[in-house]
Amino acid sequence: MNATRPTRWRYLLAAGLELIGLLCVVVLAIRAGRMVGTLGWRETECTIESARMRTWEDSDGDQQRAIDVTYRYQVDGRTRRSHRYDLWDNRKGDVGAIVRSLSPGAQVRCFYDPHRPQDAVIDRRLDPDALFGLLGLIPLWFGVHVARRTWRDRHWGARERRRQVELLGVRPRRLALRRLGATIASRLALYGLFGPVLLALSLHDRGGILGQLVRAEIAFLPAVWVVIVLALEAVATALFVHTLMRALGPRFSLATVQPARRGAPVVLQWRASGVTPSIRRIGLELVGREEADYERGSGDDRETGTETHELFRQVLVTQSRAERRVLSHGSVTVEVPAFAFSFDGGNNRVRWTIVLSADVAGWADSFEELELDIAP
Amino acid sequence: MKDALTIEAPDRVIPGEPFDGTVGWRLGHLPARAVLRLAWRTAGDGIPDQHVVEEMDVAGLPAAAPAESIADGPYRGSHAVDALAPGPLRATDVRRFRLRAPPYPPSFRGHLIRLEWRLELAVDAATVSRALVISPAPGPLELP
Repeated sequence: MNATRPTRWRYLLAAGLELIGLLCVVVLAIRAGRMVGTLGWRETECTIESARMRTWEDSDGDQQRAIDVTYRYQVDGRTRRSHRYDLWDNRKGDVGAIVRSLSPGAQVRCFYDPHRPQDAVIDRRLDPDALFGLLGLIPLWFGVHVARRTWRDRHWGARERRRQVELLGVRPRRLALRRLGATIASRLALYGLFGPVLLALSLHDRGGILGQLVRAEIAFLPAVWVVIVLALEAVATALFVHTLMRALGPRFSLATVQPARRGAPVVLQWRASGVTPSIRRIGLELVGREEADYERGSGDDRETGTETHELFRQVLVTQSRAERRVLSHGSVTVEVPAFAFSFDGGNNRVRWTIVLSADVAGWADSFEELELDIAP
Repeated sequence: MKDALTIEAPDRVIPGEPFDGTVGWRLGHLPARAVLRLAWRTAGDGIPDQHVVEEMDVAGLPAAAPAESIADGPYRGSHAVDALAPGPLRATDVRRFRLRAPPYPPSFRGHLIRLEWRLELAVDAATVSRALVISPAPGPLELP
């Protein structure tokens, strides 16, 4: 019995959340793109002619401040002038501190577009405030989750029919193991975008926003935000590096020689491939779990989740460097318990997995769970 | 007159094996439709799952007592009648069925999940169901 079929209005809610999230991310992407566009600009020396802080009140009566600067620079023997301090609207960072650093007659470095020499800017680094766009990932994630959940609830019947084909044994069971979890490629793309790519943009040009932070060129609150952003980018970069090592490092494939059956022995083979640095230890375990998706409460108090109960765990193989020759490939006979069988009803599952862990010297360790389909 | 529906079937069946049974009813009217279903459902901590594996129209099933069927018919004695041929549903009827127990999933009892098979007879708006154990063991498989 399934819960009430959700209406299409939930798709509308999901679309709204996704739209808000996308808008924030797109604004960030546009700003980052503008910065990337200036990477080919040429550096030269500019002379500050005048610099002052311009203040005015907006429609809400709040005081606004911007840098009002004029500087000159030479391109091909011709003197040019510009009023642009940054790539945005001359309001980046601590306006007062910046104006004080731009005393008339001072020589500062600036950048000009070689194809349009009249376009110049003193500071082409990423605006820390622009990174607030990253907060758009939250509604975007919620929107995708709501849409996915709604689709799943609305198409439950179809899923059950498909599953029935499996129940009747039509599905071939030649390869009884399949990989669990997200693909390495999607993780690399996600971590790569929000890790090294964004970090490179944030640190570009004299340490970027980190350099500004160290030189105390940013006010207190933006500085706190910069620290948070840099920490998140560092974490994403670390995850990217780890995932890359996993992708390059030893990847294990497992297969059963014959279909796994309840109460019958089955031969399990493993093989490491890819760049395989020294494997120090490898371990294989057979694990059985009950998993039940639950939904409690109603309305805003509705709580969903999955309860799990481990019903079986058995170490199949533990091999260390002493048996180095058999570490990269080998086989083991698994005694499948008499009560073991796989079941997937949609919300309720009995899953059997082979848990593989490998300790790799000087490299990211390997940990994989592969589902073993056990016929009753 | 109260509707009385019955299902007679073995309590336990081995997966993949055929089994026989009867369904019957005693109604105050001629039923328009009677359906027999074989289904499983889960119970326990999770959101219940259920699935109808087989559904058959009872009108297409042979009568459980052919002699009685012929004796009651409007054309009794006028011409030869195939005693095993399916006939129209009657107000009081008993039909035989033969099903094959699906090989999967077996009845089981776990810490979080229970899976139960059942036979369900629906005659117009009235229904009755009977629990059935489909398991290679004497009872439902017990998960530790």
